[in-house]
Amino acid sequence: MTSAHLKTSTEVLSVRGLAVDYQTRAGTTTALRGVDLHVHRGEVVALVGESGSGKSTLGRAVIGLLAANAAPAQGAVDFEGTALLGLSERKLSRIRGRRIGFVPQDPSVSLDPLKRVGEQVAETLRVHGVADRRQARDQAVQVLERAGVDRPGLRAGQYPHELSGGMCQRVLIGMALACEPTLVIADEPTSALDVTVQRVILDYLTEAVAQHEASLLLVTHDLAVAAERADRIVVMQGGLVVETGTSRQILTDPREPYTRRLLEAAPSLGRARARTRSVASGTAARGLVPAEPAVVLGTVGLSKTFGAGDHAVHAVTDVAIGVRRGQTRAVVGGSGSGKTTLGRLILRLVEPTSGAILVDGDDISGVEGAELRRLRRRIQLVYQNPFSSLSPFLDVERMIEEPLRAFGIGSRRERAQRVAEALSRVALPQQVLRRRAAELSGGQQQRVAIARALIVDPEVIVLDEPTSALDVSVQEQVLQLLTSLQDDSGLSYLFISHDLAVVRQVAHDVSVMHLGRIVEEGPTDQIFDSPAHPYTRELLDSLPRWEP
Amino acid sequence: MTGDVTSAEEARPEPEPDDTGRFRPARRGSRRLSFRLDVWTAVLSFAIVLVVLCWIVLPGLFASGSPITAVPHDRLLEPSWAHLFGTDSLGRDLFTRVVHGARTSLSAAGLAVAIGLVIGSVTGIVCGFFGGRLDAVVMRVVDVLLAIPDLLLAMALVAALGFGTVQVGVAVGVSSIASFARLSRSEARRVSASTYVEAARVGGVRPSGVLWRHVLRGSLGPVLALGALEIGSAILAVAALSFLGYGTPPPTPEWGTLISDGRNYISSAWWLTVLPGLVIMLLVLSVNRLSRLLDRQIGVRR
Amino acid sequence: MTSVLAYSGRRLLAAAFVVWAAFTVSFVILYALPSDPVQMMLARGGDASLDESAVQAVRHEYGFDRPVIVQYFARLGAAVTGDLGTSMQTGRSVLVSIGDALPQTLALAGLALAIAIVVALLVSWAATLAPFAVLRELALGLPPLGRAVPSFWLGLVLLQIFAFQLGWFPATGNTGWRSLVLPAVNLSVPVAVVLAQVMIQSFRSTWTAPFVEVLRAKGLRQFRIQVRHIMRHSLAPTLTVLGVVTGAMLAGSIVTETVFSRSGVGQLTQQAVTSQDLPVIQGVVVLSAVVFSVVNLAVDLVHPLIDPRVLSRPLGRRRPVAV
Repeated sequence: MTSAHLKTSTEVLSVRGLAVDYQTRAGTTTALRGVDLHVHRGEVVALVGESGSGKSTLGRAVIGLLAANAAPAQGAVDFEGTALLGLSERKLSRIRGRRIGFVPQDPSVSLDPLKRVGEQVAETLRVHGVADRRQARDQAVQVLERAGVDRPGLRAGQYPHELSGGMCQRVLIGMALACEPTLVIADEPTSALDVTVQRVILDYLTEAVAQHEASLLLVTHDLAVAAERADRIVVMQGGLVVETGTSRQILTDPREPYTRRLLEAAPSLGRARARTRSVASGTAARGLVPAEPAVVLGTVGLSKTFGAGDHAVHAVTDVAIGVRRGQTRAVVGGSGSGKTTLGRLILRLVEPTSGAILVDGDDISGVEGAELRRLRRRIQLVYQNPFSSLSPFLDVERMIEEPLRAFGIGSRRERAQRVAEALSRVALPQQVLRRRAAELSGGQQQRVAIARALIVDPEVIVLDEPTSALDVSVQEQVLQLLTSLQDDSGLSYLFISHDLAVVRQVAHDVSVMHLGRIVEEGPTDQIFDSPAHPYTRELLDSLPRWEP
Repeated sequence: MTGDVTSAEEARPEPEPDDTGRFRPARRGSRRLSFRLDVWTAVLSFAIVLVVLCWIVLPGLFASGSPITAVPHDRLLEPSWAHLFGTDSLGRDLFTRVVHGARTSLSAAGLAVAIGLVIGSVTGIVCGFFGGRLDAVVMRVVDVLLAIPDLLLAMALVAALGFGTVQVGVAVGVSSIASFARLSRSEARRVSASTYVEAARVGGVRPSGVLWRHVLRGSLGPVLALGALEIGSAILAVAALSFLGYGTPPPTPEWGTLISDGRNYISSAWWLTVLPGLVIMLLVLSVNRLSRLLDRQIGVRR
Repeated sequence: MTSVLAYSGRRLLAAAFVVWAAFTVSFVILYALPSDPVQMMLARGGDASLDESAVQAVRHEYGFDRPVIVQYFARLGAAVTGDLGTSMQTGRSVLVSIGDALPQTLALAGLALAIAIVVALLVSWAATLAPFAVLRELALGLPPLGRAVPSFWLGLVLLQIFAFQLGWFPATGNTGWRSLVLPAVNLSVPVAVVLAQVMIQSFRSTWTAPFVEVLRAKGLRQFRIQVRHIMRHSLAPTLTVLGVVTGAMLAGSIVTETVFSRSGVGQLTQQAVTSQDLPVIQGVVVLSAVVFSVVNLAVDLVHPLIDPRVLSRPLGRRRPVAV
C-alpha cells in the first residue's frame, strides 16, 4: 500500500466533470456538480465526505447504478478506454461484475434472501460466461473459500439469513472479485458491521483487492478508515471535490479549511482529550480536600433475561456500575453486548429480572405508577436517532414543553419562558420553536431532544449513542454541547456508545460491556492505556490507526 | 420490548438523503407523465364527487321532474336531450331517478362507513394501546370476521335485521368493522412502539396523555385514509345488496334497485342498466382516487 | 423435523379455531339477535292468520323455544357430526343442499381464478416493466378501475354485449362450458384486481430492495432479475392473499350466479337471504370459514418452501433442516 508504484501505473478510471441531478418532490437537487476523479491501476482511493456530499452518488454513477429519479449524468466517465456514460444497459451489464466489482454497504440486506449463497456466487460466474452451469457450482465454493468463509462447501448450500453479517460481507466481496475485475467500488463496506468485525473485513477487502491487482475505490464517511487504507484521499463536500491528495498530505498538511474541520472533528484522529481535569466542584473551589464526588446513580447485580428456557437470552447479567455526580460514565461494547438494554433497565423502560437500581441511594427498581412517573424528573434519556425520538406531529416548542405540562410545572407563560431558556442552553435559535422535527437538521433535532431532557432539571441523563446517527462535524458539536452543559450545571451522564474514540473524548470513567457483563472498568486513561481484559484490547485494536 | 437485543444497538450512519430512492425499473419519462395524469384525475375526481354531493342536497336543481310519477306514453324512450338517460318501463325519467337515488344510496353508504370507522377504530386503537388479554380476545374475533367475506357477512346481518336502506347500511358497516379494527390496532401498536412515544413516557407524560396526544394522533391518519377508501367499497356493497333485492322497496329510487329493475329490459333497453352503473363506477373511481390522494398526503407527514 | 411438525400443528389448530368461531359468530348474528325467524318465515309464507299455536309448533320444531345457550350447544353438537340443520324453506338438509350446489360454484371459481392469475400477471408485468411510460400508466390504472366497477353491473354489460348483441355465449343456465365463460370472466375481475395489486406492489418494493442493486452490480440484466429473483419474492405475498381471494370469489359468486341465473352456492345464498332461511345462511358462513381455513392452511404449509426464513422465524433460533 505504498505510493511508490504510483507514477508508473496507468489510469484505470477517469471521471471528468461529472454532474448528477435528482428529481425530488421539492424540485431538482444537485448531487454532483462537476467532479473529477482518477484511479490508477492497483491504487486504493478513498472517497471521503459527510452525508449529502455526493460520495455514494459518485461511486454509483460510475457503474450506472443511480436511483430512478436521477437525471442522466453529465460529464465523462472513462474506464479502461471505454466511455461508460450513455452506454446501453446491455453493454454496461457486461462491465458490471466482470470488470468492475461492487461491494455494498449493508451485507445483511444485499444478498437475495430466497437463494442459496452458493447459487448467488455461481450466478455471477455464469452470467459473465466465466463458468458453465456445472463448473460454476464448484468454482462458487472456491470463491467462498478464498473469501475466508469457513466450511465453504456447507455455506454454499445455506441461505443468507443463516450467515452472520461479517460472513455475508465476505461472500459479497468474494462475489465482487469472482470475475477478476480491474476495479472494485466499495460503498461504506463496513459501516453496518459490528466494530470488532470492521477491521477484519477491511483487512480482507484491501488484501484481496491487492492480490487481484485491482484498484479500489473506497467510499467512506470515516476519515480515519480512509487514512489507514488509502493511497490517495478525495475529500468531497456538497457535490464537489474539495481536496485531493495522498493520505499523508491530507492528514498532515490539509490545504482546505473543510478538510481541516473534518480532521478536527474525527474523534479517533483528533488529539486525545481525555477528561482528567480536576473536579471543578464547589468544595474544590473553596480549597477543601478535593474528594471523589458521590455516586448519584448506581446499579447492583442488575440482570435481565428475555424469554425463558432454551430460548432465554441473558441480555444483562449481574451488572454493577456507578455514575458520579457531575461526571460521565461511559458504557462501551459491540452490538449485542447488552449496553442499550442496560440503559433501558435504568430508565425502567424494561423490567429488570433481578438486582437494584439506586438513585441517590434509593432503590427504584420496584417503583410503579405515579412514583415511576415522578422518577422521570430525575433521570432522562437521549436517543440515538433524534428524528425518530421526536414526534412528527408536534412543533419544537410543544415537544420541549411536554414534560413541564406533564408534571404541571408553571403557568403557560412560565413554561414558554423555560422552553426559550432551554433552547438557548442547547444553542438553538428561537426561530425553531414553531418548526417540526422534519424541518430541522440532524444536529438540530438532537439538540431539541437534549433540550427536552434538560427541561425538567434531571440529575442524570442516559445518553444512548447520542451522536452515532450524526455526521462527524455535527457529532463534534453535540459532544461539545454535552460537555459544556455538564461543566455549567453539574449534570451526570451515563454515556452508552460503541465508539471508543468518542468515549475517550467525553468520559471520566469507562465500563466495558461484553455479552451482557461488565468485563472491565476504570478511569478512562487507564482503560485506554493499559487495558486488562482481552475484549477491551480487541475493541481498542479495532480503532483505525494512522501514524504519519 | 421484545427479546431483540441487538437491533437497537446497531449504529449505522443514515443513508445519504440523495441516494434513498434506489433504482426502479420504471424508466424516465414515467415520472412526468404520471404527475400530469395525477393532477388531471384528481381535479376530475373532485368535480365528480362535488356534483354528486349537490345531487344529494338539491336534487331538484339537476332534475326538475318527479322521480316517482309514471308517465305512461313516455315508456322506454332512448336517451335524448329531453331524457338524458332515457326513460324506464313506467315512463319515468331515468336521470331524475339516478339524481334522486343518490340520497338513498349514499346515505346508506355513509352510515356504513360511520359505523365501521367509529366502532372499528375505537376498538382497534384501545386494543392496540393497552394490549394484554382484552386485545388478544378482540383480535381473535376480528380475525374470524375477516375470514368471512364482507358481502356474505353483510347478507347474514341483513337476514337477521330485515330489509331496507338503513338495515343494509348497518349491515355493510358492521361487516367493515373488522378491517377498521385491524388497521387501527396495528397503527396504534406501531405508534405506541415508536421511539417518540417512549420519549414522551420518559418525559413523564401520563398514559392517558400518551393515548390522546400521541397514539390517537399518529394512528388517525391511516385510519381516515382507509375510511375514505371504504366509502367507495360501501357504495358498491350497498348497491350490490339492493341489487339483490334487500334494499328499499319500490318506487323509491335507489341505484342498485334501478339496475336490478333494468335487468328485465336488458335486451331491449340497454340504458336502464348501463347508465346508472356508469354513474356508480365513476363516483367510486373518483372517491377512491381522492382517498389515495389523502393517503399519500398522510404518508408524507409520517 | 420437530419445527416443521410444530409449525403444521399450530396452523391446523388455528384453522379449526376459525371454523368454530365462524359458526359461533353466525349463530350470534342469526339466532341471538332479537328478530323472530319464525314470525318472518310464516309472514313470508302469506299465512295471514298467524295463529299462536301454529307459531308455537314451528318454534318447537326448530328448537327456537329453548334458551339460546341450549340452542347453541345443540346446533354446535350437531354441526360437529356434520349436521348443519335443515332448510326452513325447502326442508332439505343444509349440508346436502350445499353439497349439491358446490361443484357448479367450484367449476366457476376455478376458471375465474385461472383467468384472474393470467390477467394479473400480464397487468403487473406491464405496470413494472413495459418499455413505454404510457403503457405502464395504462396498466397501473387497470386495478383501480376494476375495483370501482360494480360486479353485478359488469355481469349485465357482459350479458348485453356477448349474449344478446353478439350471441356468442348463452345468457343463462348451467349447461356446457360455454355457459361458464361469461360468469367466470365476471367473477375473475375482483380476483384479478386483488392479485394484480399485490403483485405490482411486491414487484415494485422488491425492485427497490438493496439486494437488487447488488444483482445489477453483478452484471445481471433486467429480464433475468425479474424472472430469477423478483418473481420468486412476489410469490409469497401473492399466496398470502389467496385466502382473501377465495373469500372474494365466494362472495362474488353470490352476485354472479344471480346475474347469470346459474345454480350454485351463490344462488343458494341469495335465495336463503331473500327467504330468511337462517340454517342455510349459517351453513354458507361456516362453508366460507372452512374454505378460508383450508386455503390458508395450504398456503402456510407451502410458505416455508418458498421462503426459507419462515421456519426459523417463529421458533427463535432454529434453522431449517434441509440444507
